[in-house]
Amino acid sequence: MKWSPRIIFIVILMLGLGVVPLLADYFGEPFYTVMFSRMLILSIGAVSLNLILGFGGMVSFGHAVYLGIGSYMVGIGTMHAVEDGIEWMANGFLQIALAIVFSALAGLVIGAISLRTRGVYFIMITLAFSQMLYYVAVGNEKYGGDDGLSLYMRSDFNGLIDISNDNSLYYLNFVCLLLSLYLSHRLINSRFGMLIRGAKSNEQRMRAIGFPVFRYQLVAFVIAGTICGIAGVLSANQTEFVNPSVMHWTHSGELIIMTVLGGLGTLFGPVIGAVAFLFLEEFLSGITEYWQLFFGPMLVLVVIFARGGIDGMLVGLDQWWSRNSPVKNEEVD
Amino acid sequence: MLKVDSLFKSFGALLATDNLSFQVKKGDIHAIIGPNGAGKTTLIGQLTGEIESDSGSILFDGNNISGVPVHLRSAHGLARSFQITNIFHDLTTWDNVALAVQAHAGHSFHFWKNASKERELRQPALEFLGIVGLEKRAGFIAGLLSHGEHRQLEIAMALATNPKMLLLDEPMAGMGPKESLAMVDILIKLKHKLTILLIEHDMDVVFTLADRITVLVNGRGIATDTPDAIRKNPEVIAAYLGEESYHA
Amino acid sequence: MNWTLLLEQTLNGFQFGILLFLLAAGLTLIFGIMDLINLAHGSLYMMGAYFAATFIKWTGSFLLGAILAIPACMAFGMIVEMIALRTLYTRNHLDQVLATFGLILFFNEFVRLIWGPIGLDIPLPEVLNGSVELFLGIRYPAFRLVIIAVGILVAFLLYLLVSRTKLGMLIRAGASNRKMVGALGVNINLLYTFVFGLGAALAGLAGLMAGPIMTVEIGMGEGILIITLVVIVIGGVGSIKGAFVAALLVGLIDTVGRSFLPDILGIFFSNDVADTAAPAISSMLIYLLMALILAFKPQGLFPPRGA
Repeated sequence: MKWSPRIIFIVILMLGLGVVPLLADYFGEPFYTVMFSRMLILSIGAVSLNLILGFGGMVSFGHAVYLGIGSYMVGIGTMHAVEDGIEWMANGFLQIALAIVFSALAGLVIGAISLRTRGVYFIMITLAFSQMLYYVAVGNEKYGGDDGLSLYMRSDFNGLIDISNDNSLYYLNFVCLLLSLYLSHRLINSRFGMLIRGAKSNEQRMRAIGFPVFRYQLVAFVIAGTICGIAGVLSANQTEFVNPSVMHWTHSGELIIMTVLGGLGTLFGPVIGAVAFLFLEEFLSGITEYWQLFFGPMLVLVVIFARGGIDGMLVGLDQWWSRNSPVKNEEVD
Repeated sequence: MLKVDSLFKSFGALLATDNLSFQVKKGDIHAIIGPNGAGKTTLIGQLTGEIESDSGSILFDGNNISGVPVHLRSAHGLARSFQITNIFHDLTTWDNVALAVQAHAGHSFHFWKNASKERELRQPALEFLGIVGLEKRAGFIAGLLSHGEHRQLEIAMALATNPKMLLLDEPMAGMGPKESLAMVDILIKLKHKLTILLIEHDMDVVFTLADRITVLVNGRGIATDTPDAIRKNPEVIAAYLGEESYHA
Repeated sequence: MNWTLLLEQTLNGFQFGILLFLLAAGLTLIFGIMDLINLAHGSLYMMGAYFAATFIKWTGSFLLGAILAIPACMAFGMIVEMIALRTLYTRNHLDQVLATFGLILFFNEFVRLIWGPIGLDIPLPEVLNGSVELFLGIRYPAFRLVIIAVGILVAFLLYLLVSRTKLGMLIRAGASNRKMVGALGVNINLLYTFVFGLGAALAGLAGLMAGPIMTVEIGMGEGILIITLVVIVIGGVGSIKGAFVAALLVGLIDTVGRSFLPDILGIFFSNDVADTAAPAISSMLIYLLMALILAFKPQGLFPPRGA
């Protein structure tokens, strides 16, 4: 691996994320652990979205649905555990397993119908499906309806990890993020990943050389949804609260923003984007109540001028660096 | 190898393919020529499955492929290159061909192993790049290659699917003289190794390369014969070469 | 079955469909001609309502305020087009979705800054405040009838504009073949700005008419925007006829579904099940409709030519 500003930035970011709870405790500001914990969870969501959006070119505008599915697995399970005394329903492993099953099922149904369409129709139909599930949650009075469910306890991992402690939950999130990054790294470089990227680049050509593109895209869609479903389980534990707004379309929009802001189709882009997004939110809303007055136009400017997102800027910095670095020139000679 | 039998296709009032029948023999370079609007592009679409024929049959290597979807025709051994360059612009040249190799290597539900390190994909891909003279460009992003190189890359990708027959849709389109010569060399190298159906505007190229020629006018095949016989065919001269010299 | 209620709900559905059409017509034109997917279209609807509320208060006249609000909204739309959206026409849909999403955030905050976080009321004048007897003693709110009448009138004018005028010819040509229009030597920028302004005016009209029925508040454009997107996708993106048919269809199904689904479900299931399931299912109806239509017609009911 050659060191460059971009690599150094990413290494520092990941190492930094690894020590946040230690620093927060040291400075007596545990609030930051919670805030960064949110960043990690949304990073996982963005990493999963990036699989289909960045590498596969499928603009899914309903990805927050899987966050919702994962969250409700925890919310519903915990509710029954607390109110009806069915303790095993609060089991975290079970909740993750259920989140995987239901996210995969949802992804399969949504993908099978949506992937028949292209372009703006695909964007809209994924949006429509997410709204559908949103209204299912809103209309379901048994599980809180519009008001949602408060969790009186976090998931129980058979005593292996005690996530009632914010720091342990943080590290659970961190490990899950690392796993999702490693998984997507393997995926995008495998034959499967080559195919997905090829279909983004030129779908007609993929068919002409003999790939049944649809079924591979569908599998990618399901995988992405499933990973995001796990992020949903973590998210519910983090906020100790589940309500339908987690799958509202604006939330799906925010996931897209994070992914694009960080850098589409790059491994670490979504992590950078999620961290940057929440930082901006925190920073701007600290300055002014009307923070979206600045955030909105910034988003427009990023779209118009910084097409590769933050990672794209880092790549630009790398190129500038290698042009101006004497060491590098010697290597070339 | 390929037998087209009484093929019809109409777009509204326009009859794009009108009772077209011809045969391509194994190992031949078979050219299809005809003035603009003769229905060559429609025919290609019908052969690859992108356009559904109204009636008639297409027999390829003994199988009727008329109703077979696009991606499965490739599995039957029918590969095509496009009139408009059609490659994966943001992947490397090598990746482009490796994908084509992969397409032929069975299903792609391999989620874990790094495909860019798989010898069974990369090695053959490099060999196909060698055939078209692009091995030195292997690491380049395909979008940055020249137009002529794009066409060469397309041929390499078509070859990589291990076809029995290659469908070349105007491979010389938009090329300079030097690039055209390189392409002719590649086709000569391939001649008699596999069957080639060539659709081409450049008459010099067609008459140099082709073993047999089918002349298409208004969707009908007015003649199928050797280059020498086509040159002398009065109907062809009247319908086609006459118009060509008019343009010149 | 309560026939009076059914009639009333059908009219309500019709009236909702008309509002949807006013929004969808602009959105589908903008998409068809400029290839722009504009999420901020709902913000123009919101602006229309806020402008109307303000002007009505200033002038003290409902009619005058409403008449002023429409050109204001049109001008507002044209300015937004010239400043922010023009550069997005050549971009991919993802960029457009993001940038116009950013605009939504901006407009919501902008409205909160200017008009404050509390919603506004648009008081109706005496004449429109009552109800009208339709027949056999069935009464219906006068203002909703006005909405239906205005909507039909606008739809008719729009039809005349698009099918009978030179400008309309350009719009139709632009919707089916964008490059063609450029080749004809038309000032494309001007045409685009005008079409956007037209869409903004229609959205504003919808907003000001919705104002007295619903509340004028921040984010009022977002819920209806999503439904409008459903409408244009069902109708076939770029088709005004499709937008009209789909808008009425969606308006009717949504409204009638909400009020009668509990009864219909009650026929098949226990009342308990029907009462809990009905609200969720009726909110889902239009999305189910869209999924169903796209599963069979991936390009919508009236796919644009050349697609």
